[in-house]
Order: sequence, then C-alpha cells, then structure tokens
Amino acid sequence: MMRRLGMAAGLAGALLLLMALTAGADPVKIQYGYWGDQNEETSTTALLQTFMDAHPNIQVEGLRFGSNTQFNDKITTLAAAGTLPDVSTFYEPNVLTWGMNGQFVDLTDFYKKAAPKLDAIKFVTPDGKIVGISVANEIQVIWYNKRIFDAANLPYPPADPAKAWTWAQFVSVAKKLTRDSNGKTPNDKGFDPSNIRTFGAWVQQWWMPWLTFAVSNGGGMVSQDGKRLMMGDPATIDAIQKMADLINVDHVSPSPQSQQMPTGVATSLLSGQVAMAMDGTWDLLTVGTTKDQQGLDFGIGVLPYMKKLATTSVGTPEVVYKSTQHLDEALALLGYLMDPASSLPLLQNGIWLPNEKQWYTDPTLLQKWIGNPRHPPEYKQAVVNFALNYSNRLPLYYVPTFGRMDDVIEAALGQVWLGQKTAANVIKNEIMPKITPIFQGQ
Amino acid sequence: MKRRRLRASTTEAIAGYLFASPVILGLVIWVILPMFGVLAISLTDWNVLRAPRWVGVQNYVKLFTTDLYFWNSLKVTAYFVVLNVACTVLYSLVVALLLNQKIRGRGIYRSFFYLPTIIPVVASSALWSWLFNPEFGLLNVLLQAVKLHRSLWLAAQTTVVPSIVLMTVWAGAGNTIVIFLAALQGVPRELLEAVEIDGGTWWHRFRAITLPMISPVTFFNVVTGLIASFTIFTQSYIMTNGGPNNASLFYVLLLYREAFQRNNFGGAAALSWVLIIIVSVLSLLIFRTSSRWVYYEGEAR
Repeated sequence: MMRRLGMAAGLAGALLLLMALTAGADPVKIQYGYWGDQNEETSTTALLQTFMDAHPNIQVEGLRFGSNTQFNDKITTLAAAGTLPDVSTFYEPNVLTWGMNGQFVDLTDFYKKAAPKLDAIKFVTPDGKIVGISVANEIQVIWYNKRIFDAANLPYPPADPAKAWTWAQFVSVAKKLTRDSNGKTPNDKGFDPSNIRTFGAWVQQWWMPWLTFAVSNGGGMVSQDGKRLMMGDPATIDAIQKMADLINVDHVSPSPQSQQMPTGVATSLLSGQVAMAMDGTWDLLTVGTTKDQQGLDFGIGVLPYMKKLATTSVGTPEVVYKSTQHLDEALALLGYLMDPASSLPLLQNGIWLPNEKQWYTDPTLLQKWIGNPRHPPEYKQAVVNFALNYSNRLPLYYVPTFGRMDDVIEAALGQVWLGQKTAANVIKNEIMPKITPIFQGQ
Repeated sequence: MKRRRLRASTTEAIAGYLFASPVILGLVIWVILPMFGVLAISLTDWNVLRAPRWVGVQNYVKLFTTDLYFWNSLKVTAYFVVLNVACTVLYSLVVALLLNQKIRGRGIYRSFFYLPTIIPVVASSALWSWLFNPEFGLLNVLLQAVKLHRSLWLAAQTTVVPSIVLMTVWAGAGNTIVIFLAALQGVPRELLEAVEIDGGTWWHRFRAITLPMISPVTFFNVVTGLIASFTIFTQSYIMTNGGPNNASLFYVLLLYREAFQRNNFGGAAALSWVLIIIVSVLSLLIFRTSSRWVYYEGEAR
C-alpha cells in the first residue's frame, strides 16, 4: 500500500515537474497587424510561420485589417480601446503624428545596429527620432512600349541616369508619339485633341509624381530639413504648371477627367493607348505578367529632369508600439520583417525593391533579386542605380502635417490639371493661405 | 390586516413601462447616453492617443471661423438635401400613382420598383460608379445613342451632386413609394366618385382629393427624407471620396475624415453636435408649418 502511494506521489511529482518545464517554455504571444487583400493574408501568414519556426519561443498572431485606409479606422479604434498590436504596418500620412504622440518605440538604436537602410524611407520626427521605416522601396520611373517607339522610329527613353532626357527632350518625344484618330500628332495641322488614340506620355496627378518633379526643378512641398514651406516657390509652381501643360497645352497626357482615362499602366501600354507612362516600380508585377501572357514588349527608363535628375521613394511603413509587453520579441519580429531576405519573393516578382543599401551594391545580393527573367537588362541602371543614387525623401517621411496639407493641395490642384486655372493662381491664392497656418502650427 | 392594493390604472402603467422598457433602455443606453458622451468629447482636444484636454467651446469656434471645409461641406450637403428630398418625393409620388392603376402585372411592377432598396448601398455605389464612368459607362453610351453630349458625371464639380442624387433616388425611393402607395389606397373612393359625378377631370380629383388626403404621408416622407439625406455618407465615401475639389465632401464624410483619418475626435464630435442641432431646427420648422399644408381627416380646414 505504502509503495503504491509512493509511486503515485512520484508520478505526481514527475507530472508537476513536466508541467513546470513546459510552462517555462510557454511561447511569448505577440500580435502583428497589417493591411492587404486575401493574397497578402496568405503570403503574410506564411512569412510569420517561417519566423515562428526559427523562434519557437515566440508565437505571432497575424491580424489583417482590410485596406490601407480601413486599417487606419481599425487601428484608431484599437488605440481608443487600449488593445493595440505589438508590431504593425501603418497608414503612411499618420506615422509621424502617432510617433510624436508617443505611440511608437524609438527605433534609432535598433537601426544603428542593423545593416544600413536607405535614408529616403525612414520616418523621422522633427526632434530626430526614427519612429518607423518602410519595409520596401518603390521609386518613380518611366515605363514604355518598345513597339510604339520602333514604329515612330524614335530612340527609347534612356536607362542610364547619366544620359537622362531633359524635360524639353521628353516633351518633344512625347509629342511625336501622340496620335489622334486621324494619325496626326500635336505638331501637325488639324490635330484633334479631343480624339486622341495614343498618348505620348501618361503622367498621373496624385502627390508622388508632382512632388518628384517639384524636387527635380529645385522646389518641393517642404525643404529637406523640414523647416521651410516650399510649396509657393517659383520652382514648385513652374514644375506643376509644366505637368499641367502636358495635358492642356502639349496634349500628350490624358486629363484626369477625360473620357479616355487609362485604367492601368500594363493594359494601356499593351493596347497602345499610352506610349510612355510615368509610374512606380511596383508596376513590374503587372507589366511583367502582361509580357509573359500577352507579349507586351516593354522597357524601363529613368525620369526626365527639369533642373537636376531626381526620383522619390515610398514603401509600407512598419512600426513597434510603445504599449508592447514584449519589446525584445517585437523587435526580433521587426528585424525579421525588415530583412530583405524575408521578402525575397516580393523582390523577385518585381513589386518591391529592398530597403537595405547592400542589396543594391553587393553583386551577390543584387543577383538574388534581379537575376531572373522578370527583371529586364536595363533594370540595373534605370531602377537599381536610379533608386540608390537619385532618390529623394518625400515629405510624408519628415513633415507631420503632410496629410493635412495634402488634403488642401490635392483638392485645389484639380483645377490646374483641368486647365481651368494656372498653377500660380491656385497655389498663391487658394493653397498657400490655407496650408501656411497648418504648417506653422505643427 | 388590510393589504394595500394598487389601483388598476397604476398596474397598467407599470406593465406598460415594463413592456416598453427594452426600447426605452435601448434608446437610453445606445442613443441618449452616447449623445451626451459626444457632447463631452466635443468640448475637449482629443486625438485618442493622449488623454483628452478640456478646451471649452474652442472646437465650435474653430468650425465657424477657421475650419477649411466646414462651410463648403455644409453648402454641398444642403444642396444635396434639397435636391434629393424634392426628387425622391416627386419621383415616388409619380411612381406610386402609376402603380396604383389597375393594370396587368401590377405586382411585378411594384416589386420591380422596390427591388433596388434591398441592395446594400455599398454594392449599388460600386455598380453606379461603373455606370457613371465617363469613358465606357452605360449612361454615356445611352446619351451618345440619342446624340447628346457625354457627361463627366461624378468627375466634374458641377455634375457630381446631381449624379449622386440620381443614384440615391433610384436606390432609396422604394420605401417612399410603398408608403405613398398605401396612402393612395386609403383615399376614400366615394370622394373621388363625387368629383367624377360633378364632371371633374383626373387633375381635379388629384388636386382636390388625393393630394390633401395623402398630405400627412407626404409630410412624413419629407421629414424622414430630410434626416436621411443629411447623413449621406457611403455614396461619396465609395464613389468620389469627397472630390472633385471637395464638391461632394458631404458633412458626415468630413466628420469621418476628421475623426478616423486625422484623429481629431474633439472637432469631429463638435461637427456631429452642430449637425444634430441643424436637423432638429429644420424638423421643428417643418412641423411648425405643417398645419398650413397637412390635412388630417376629420379636421376642420
């Protein structure tokens, strides 16, 4: 009897010990929030699983919050309820305001230890804290359909930044490529701008293109040190006017309200509706797929320049919340997500560029992501070299009032794109009086 | 020992309140208390990220003086409300009159006109943004077929609000039509016949009998339509996001943007209280004037 009791006690003891051991190995649970569609949910889930396999002591729960703007509704509600995740992507225009309100961990030290990231895609508050950084880099380039150039017997847009076109050269080529329904160009007599079959150069009207050319012309929205509002500078006004002239004077780019608005870069290049399109490097996914499936013979070139050659960078920000209970684990997850090796599939399919400098300069690393048929031969010059050496910071990375100012600017600039008013008129009389107090109140 | 008994009327009252209590409690917990919560928030500077800071009526002062969008948004919304209520009531009345005729397949027509109402606004907004597409949208194809100029619909400042009204009338008139239809069926036949015997035409019958008899229902439709129109949000959120040049930046869309995109909850709360006051005052005005144009049966005119 006693022996049995002893055995039972021993068993119970062993069981307790086992429980204590497993309890000690209980994984730390953290949450990762992100936006995206169903496909991104699948790829993110796989990404997180790889991380968990390498870190058995950390369990990550992925939370998908719909699209980029829905994400902001959701995260605001979570903040009000005090149930924020540990790490997440973030709605770009609000990264700095949330960071300045003490919501994010200061990542300055973290990035000092990591391999050097590109400077253009760090979110830096006016007091110098890095509160977020983009997981990828995406710049503006020119996409073109080679067959349309061949048919017009014109040289392709240069891929080598050293040979970039001036704005005047760009407009001149764009005019020769533009054709109305009678095959006439804007240089010909009797050209009909209301019936254009092929637009020479499609330039879009949201903030990234006009901010890029404003910088190229020596202007911008806010100076790079974040101290001076440059929206009203003659250089900025001139750049925006030149872009509006593409639509209303040169007739080489479709009007934002025109009845011939292209629906996407890949389809409009393929159909010949557009000969050149200025847009982000992310198009390589759709343009490349269109090449594979429908034989689109495309090329990539660097942007033309006004005074100095320039492009700009964007990318989805990742942040770590101050409310996290597991800072070390959260930073481990961040380090993993921010490592270009983790997002290799997205780099290889063309949608992203890496956020680390060495992935542009080290030939072995470079080969890893551009050494495939998706990336055309000129990619190394027109994208890799261009992104590394000519990219500029956009104000959303260093101006906390960017979102507020952009609300005013985008709405008012609509009249410039339509040719109803001049850039000088709208910027001086409608934009500057409204955004100056916003900028000064930051 | 004499047990005090409650009077019959008292027990009845208690039972009545008990039966009504789910509604009363719901109203208090989900509507009235939050309303006062919002009032409190509107007196603070609150961005969710930090503790609210008391600022008194500063949010309201800002709205009326320095806010960049408030007046424009109010103007755009008022334009929408007037156009939408007028069109919805008129369209519904005409359709209801037609559906009240003795024609074959009346039931099919009735469900046909009611059908759009059961489509979620999100879905019909997505659908209509295709119809409105300036290049390949069906509406422009139709206009061209009859040799009319194409319209830019949602893409131009001048046509964006009428376009949204067009869609809202199509999608939202179902309930109004049903209510009018019910009212039309309640118009006493002997009165209509009396007009006929006196040699009155269709117009006489409509003007002298039908219109006064259904005026309480018209009144109801105007008031509910007014309130619903002031809170328009989904259509512009999905189709235009307030554009072009803020021409469809409706009041509630501005409120949403301030709260959830710019984290200005104090300002957004002030916006919503101003809206409550505007709608209440307008409803009150309509109620006040109603005695002049609404006829209730049995009432001396």
